[in-house]
Amino acid sequence: MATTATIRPHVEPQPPAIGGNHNLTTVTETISRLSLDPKAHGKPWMITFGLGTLGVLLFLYTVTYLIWMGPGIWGLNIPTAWGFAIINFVWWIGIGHAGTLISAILLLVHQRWRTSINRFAEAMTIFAVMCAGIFPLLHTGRPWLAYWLYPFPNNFAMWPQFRSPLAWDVFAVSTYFTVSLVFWYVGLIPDFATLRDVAKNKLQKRIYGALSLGWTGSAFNWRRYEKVYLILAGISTPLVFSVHSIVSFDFAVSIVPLWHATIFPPFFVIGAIYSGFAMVLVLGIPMRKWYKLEDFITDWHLDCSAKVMLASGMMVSFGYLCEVWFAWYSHSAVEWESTVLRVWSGPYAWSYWALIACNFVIPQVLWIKKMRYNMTVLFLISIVVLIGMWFERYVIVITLTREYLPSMWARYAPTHHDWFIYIGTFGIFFSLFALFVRFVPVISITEMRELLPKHAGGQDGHAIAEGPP
Amino acid sequence: MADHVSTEGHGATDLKVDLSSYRTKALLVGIGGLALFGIAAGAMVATNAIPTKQIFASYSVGFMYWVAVTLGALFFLSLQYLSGGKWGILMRRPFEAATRCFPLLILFFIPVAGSFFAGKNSPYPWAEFYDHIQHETNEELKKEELESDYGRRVVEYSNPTFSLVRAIGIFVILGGIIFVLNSTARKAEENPDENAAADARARQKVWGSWGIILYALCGMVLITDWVMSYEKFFASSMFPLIFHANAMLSSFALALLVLIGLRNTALKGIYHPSEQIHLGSFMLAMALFWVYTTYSQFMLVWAGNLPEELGYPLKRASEGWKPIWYVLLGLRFFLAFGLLLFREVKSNAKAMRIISIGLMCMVGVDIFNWIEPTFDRSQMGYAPYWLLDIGAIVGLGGIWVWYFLGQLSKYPVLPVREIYLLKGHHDEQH
Repeated sequence: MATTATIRPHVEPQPPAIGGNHNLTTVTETISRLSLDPKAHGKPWMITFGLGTLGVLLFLYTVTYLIWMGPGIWGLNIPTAWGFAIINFVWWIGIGHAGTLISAILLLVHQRWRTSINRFAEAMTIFAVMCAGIFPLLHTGRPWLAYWLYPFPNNFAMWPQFRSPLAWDVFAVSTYFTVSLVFWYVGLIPDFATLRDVAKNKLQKRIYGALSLGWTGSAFNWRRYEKVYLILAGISTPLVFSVHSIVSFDFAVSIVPLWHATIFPPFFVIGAIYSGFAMVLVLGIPMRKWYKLEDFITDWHLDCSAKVMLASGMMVSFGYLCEVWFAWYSHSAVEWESTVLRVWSGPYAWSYWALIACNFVIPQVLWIKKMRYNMTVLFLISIVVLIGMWFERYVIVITLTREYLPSMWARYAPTHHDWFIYIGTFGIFFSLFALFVRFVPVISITEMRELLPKHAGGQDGHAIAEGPP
Repeated sequence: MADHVSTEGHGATDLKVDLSSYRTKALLVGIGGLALFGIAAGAMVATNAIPTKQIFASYSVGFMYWVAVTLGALFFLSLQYLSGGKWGILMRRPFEAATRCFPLLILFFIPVAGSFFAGKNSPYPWAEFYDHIQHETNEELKKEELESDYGRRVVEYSNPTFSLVRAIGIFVILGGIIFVLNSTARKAEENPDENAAADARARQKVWGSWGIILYALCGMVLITDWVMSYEKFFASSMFPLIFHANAMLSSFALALLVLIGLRNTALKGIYHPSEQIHLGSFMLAMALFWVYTTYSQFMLVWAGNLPEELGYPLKRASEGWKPIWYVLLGLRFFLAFGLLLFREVKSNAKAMRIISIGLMCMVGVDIFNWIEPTFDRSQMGYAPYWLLDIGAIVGLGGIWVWYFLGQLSKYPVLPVREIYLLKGHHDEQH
């Protein structure tokens, strides 16, 4: 029997990736001005850089004292031999993840909303990984011998223990850093050439000219650029997963109760994405307000980031549930007792509930569209998520205080030196980020120009080397 | 026979398909599979070649396979409603039809529920333990066994009655969300009142998010109850994700097969090779996700070297079972990865059809590998019991596909209100 129905298709307008009435010239001018004109940076920049520098000074003081005295000035003990160093290492590495995810994975899956946030997210990745790397180096006690972590022929017969995930970390993190740096720099080349061309100051012309590696903007240049950018995106994608999986192995290959969990690799990766997007929002929301970049970093971009944050937060919460569920299901006395101590009767149970509140309860607000479009709320929730993700690593690490035998039990408390180093890495991060905002295009000029509609001289989001759409 | 659906702005499009000839074939295959299962089971039990519990275990392989396909479809359908990505416009109808096969799962579950109460004939060690405790006359021994870690688990959780209650709960929850998702889809698509349809689309997003949450939670419980509990002490928090990896891949491959099958008829001019490339890339990601989760579980359990969990990988890595690992690793990962990297392969319909069928078979092999190596063959016999597993997958599958095709042909194979999002239609609109 044949049926006939008349149905009107509904058309939902796609939000514009660029607001306002921009064209090639205004896009170039608005973004390049931030790198070329010191007057574009007012008080907020000075305050950020100033506080960052203070943090760096605090860091330098504490590290000098640490090297003089040794890691004994930290709150480390046995059994909590890792303490703040590993908590902060994992936290910073996690934050670094969103940059590569946004740049590489969202590029490969053709997400237009990545374009205005990828550049500063990549910078965030590089600075966060630098901050992360500091902690294991200092934790070795003799950071000047850090090269021993690599295998090299030597008279002492020193050789890394390749069965330890800590040795894998060295390779994973250094590879990740290198690839992220190269990826970031390759993306910057056409933008440096643009800055070279529009700069009026001779010194700026020379510096940006050198950084642009002789870019002429020829079809040949563009073709090569697009190809290498895509290849680097392909290389970076598995690194997003491998680095944090290997970081999770630091814990999961052990047989410490609640550390030996098979779900740790994806759980860590998704947690990293969660905290990384939170940091993207923490940086992006004030930056777009201070520099009036609302046309480029639109509400839609932040909404998409908030949705990714919410989704990854739900997955992380599923991970928390799995941990408790399988500890109970296994009916292993050690696993279950450790879980009870962690969530209920242990001395650090408050920190578990702090992480649940920060990572699960409060972010539920993001289901409401109005809240995702309220920049103050979004900014505050992002900070809450960053705190929650720090607590997550804290909760994992202080599990060491309640291992198998009560005779092994101890308390752990960080000293003010632990806090100083942690705060100091914030100083490094924010001062480097402030310098980045001052001298490097914070948004990709090339990709924003490509994103412009055809009638405004753009490519409707297609790559220049692809030719007109 | 194609029914006629006119979409304003697109002209008349034949989007309803007649699949009755395929349905008949599927039903015949199903009957054949069940006949194979029945005859092989009867012959082997009658000759004492296998114990009764083998019949339940083999049936469970087939049952879990179609649970995976159906629930994978629920996941993608929910994700599609929530995110509204273009990728899902083409696949929405096959996913909807697959979720509507859920009532069949309730029917298929009856023998599995029976196995909960089969005592020493049950393949589940907890059911056997429970039966043993019921008949234990030595009170001291009974008390000791009940106070062991495993005994406490059986009393508190893995006992036949409570397992059945949980299963009913899972069916009610998942059945409820599937019903709501499908009924909202009908309103969003078929209601001529634009405002009512818009309301339904908004509700689809809400229910889509609930669909994913409930899928994840119920999936965790059901895979623990119905598969992981085959191993007495094994508990792995990665196992639900491995199940999800299989569920997603099998349902996605099935939906892709439908699209490829309809590319020259109902989807002519709509399903382009460029769409297939995107879907192929999606499939590549899923193949990688499977190997990521499976390898992580294997590596961490092996590194932990704990007696309560090491049995799981050791059994599967022992002689006789090793080839299964090689097949899974070689075909499901290396071959699929190698092939799906290339656009030429992903745009080729015939190649993608073979890859999709191959990957669906690999999901079957993986599920077989979850369940069968659990048993000690010296006690279970060396008869070709795997014929039962094949019979169960094919038999239940034939009925499932028969019902699925019936559901698929009930409605237009594309959501007509949203096909403008696809290539070609997009240009027409703008």
